[in-house]
Amino acid sequence: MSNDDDQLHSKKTKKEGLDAAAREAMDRTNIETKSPANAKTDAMTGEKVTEKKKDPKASDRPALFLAEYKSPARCIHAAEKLRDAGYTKFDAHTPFPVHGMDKAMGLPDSRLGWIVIVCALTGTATAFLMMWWMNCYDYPIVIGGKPPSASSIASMVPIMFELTILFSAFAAVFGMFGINKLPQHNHPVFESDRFKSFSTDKFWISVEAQDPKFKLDKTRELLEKTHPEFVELVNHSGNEGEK
Amino acid sequence: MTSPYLPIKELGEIPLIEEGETFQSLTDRIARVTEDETPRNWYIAFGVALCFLSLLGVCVGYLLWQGVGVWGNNSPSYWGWDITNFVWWIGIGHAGTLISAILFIFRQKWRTSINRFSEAMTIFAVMCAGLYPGIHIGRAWYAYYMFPIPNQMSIWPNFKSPLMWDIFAVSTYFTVSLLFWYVGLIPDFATLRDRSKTQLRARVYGFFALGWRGSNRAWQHYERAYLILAAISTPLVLSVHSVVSFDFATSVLPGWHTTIFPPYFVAGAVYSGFGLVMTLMLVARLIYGVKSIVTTQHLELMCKVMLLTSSLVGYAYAMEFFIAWYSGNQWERAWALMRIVGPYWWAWIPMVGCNAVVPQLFWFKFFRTNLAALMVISILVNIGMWFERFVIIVGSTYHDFIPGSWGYFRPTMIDIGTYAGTMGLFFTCFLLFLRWMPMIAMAEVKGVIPAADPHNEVGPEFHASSGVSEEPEPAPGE
Repeated sequence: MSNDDDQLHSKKTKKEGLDAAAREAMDRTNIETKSPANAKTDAMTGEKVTEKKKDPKASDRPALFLAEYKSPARCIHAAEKLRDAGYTKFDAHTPFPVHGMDKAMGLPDSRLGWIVIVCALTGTATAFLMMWWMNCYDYPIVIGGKPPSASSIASMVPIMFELTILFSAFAAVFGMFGINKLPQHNHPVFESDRFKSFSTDKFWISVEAQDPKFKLDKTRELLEKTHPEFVELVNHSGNEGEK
Repeated sequence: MTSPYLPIKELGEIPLIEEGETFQSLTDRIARVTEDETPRNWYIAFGVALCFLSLLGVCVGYLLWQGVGVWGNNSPSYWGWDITNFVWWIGIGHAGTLISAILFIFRQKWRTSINRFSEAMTIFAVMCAGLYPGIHIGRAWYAYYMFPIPNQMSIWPNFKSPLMWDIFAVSTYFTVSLLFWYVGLIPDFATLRDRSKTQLRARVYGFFALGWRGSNRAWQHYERAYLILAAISTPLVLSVHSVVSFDFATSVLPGWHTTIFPPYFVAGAVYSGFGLVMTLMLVARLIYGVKSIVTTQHLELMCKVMLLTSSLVGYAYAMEFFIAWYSGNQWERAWALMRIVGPYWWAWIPMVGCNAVVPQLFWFKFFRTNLAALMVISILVNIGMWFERFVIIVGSTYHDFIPGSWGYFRPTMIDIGTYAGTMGLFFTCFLLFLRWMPMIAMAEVKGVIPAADPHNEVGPEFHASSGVSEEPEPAPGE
């Protein structure tokens, strides 16, 4: 089902309320029955349930859990907890790179350097071949009594150096874009309005539904133990707020 | 808890960012400049800059129409203000790369308050510089001969020429600076996107933010890319002005044919760049209320860099005279003598005065912290550095080896207009930058305040609750 379908459908159900089939589907997802936090909300604001649990089919496909923290330390502790619990598809979203987060998340070292070194050497070789082919092979010219051959490599050094740098810079920037899959303007985290604070002063953890360890109740429970300010489940079509 | 982020009070260290600033207040302070209504003074400044930019258009248009004869360049000085301004502008750009790359490698965290600002300056200065080689060649429509592309004469550029090296060095420098600057801007564009009140702002900033979501998996590669860019920009910035100096040093003219040129040019470039960063920063921090981010401490540290580079430049001046005498070469000796007592003595005085003498005042804390003094000295620095370029370029060409080919270079109104016009280009770009982009790297500045340190948890209630959070198995039955 595409995202558009979800949204259309969710609007419809919002108006009509939940039918029996939807209720059944909801039970299957364990949202109400097993998550204690959710049960409490349901009990407290019974009316709100229909509004929050939009389309049952959409809630069949939760995208990720978001948890907000107010300090880098708490965010790091949460990442450590998730790592130790065996989660692999989770992420931290922070306004600046937090020192020690890579280790807390158990990330391997960046492999960007390998891309850059390959491109750097390509740049050096390109510069040499270009100058040799143009000035020594295709149209040999003798300048300053220097032979039109590779033996005048000394005069080629500056341009070889510059192209090495140029190619490395492109590799570093576009390699980084490639690894990070940028630009990517559409992502479930953007469905949450509150998530916008990630670029100002709040620290977020997201746990993706694709994670093999992901369980609506267990994951929420785990996140709530890490002292978040706020936890929410984001569906592909929208979000459901909590806390 | 002790933290490497906290200043050591016993050593007299003070925090980089004034105490009391939080992530939120920093973001507000910096982002607000782009969000609030445009101040009236901005329009006035922008109008003036646009006037000068039009002057540039007129001067360059006239030059292209009439030919290079509208400038003062003539036998024997075929290089005049054009190359003087080219070298001067390129040099100004160097401070940006020094601050963003070299200080990054040396882990000088104070750079975060001024790096965005000076990187922007680099890019606009290199744009101004890049204009001159294109228009000084006479028939500008043949500028593509400078590039290694097939042309109708089936001849390739001569790669043994330092002028070709210069093309590659300057264009690489511009490209890499732009990439570096943009990479730094991505997280800040995301901040502006997330703060946008209007759809248009969200769309435009969102477009440039590339969908940045502060993901640590992305930060990891981002930081590595930043480190690599810094690591390659460091030799690059040293190479660019070295290659510019090769334009002179590989010739046989007295005063140019010296091995001291590359380091001497690089030191001068950094020196003049810091001068302009200082001038612009002094104005901007007052107008835009970022005094708590760019503190007196930052200005003082910049003064120290200027003091160092000024002393290097002063040493190079002295060494040039020493070598002229020590070489026993009569042409070198004549050139050195003419520099002081020749017809261009009036250019030599501000060069030595502004570059080697005046910055020695920075030995005293009073001058390093007095804003009025900083303003005057930083402007003098750039006047001095302009005269240095002029003395080097015209000072070696106006007296050829035989008196029959001696001359005297005089700038024309078009020379002056073109130079003033590049100022217009620079300030037009710079004012647009101040208006629409975060002029301080928000993400980086946030990383250096004490609250950013994960070991420096603030707030008592965390410590109260952390006992619970550290327990491996919290009590069941919630």
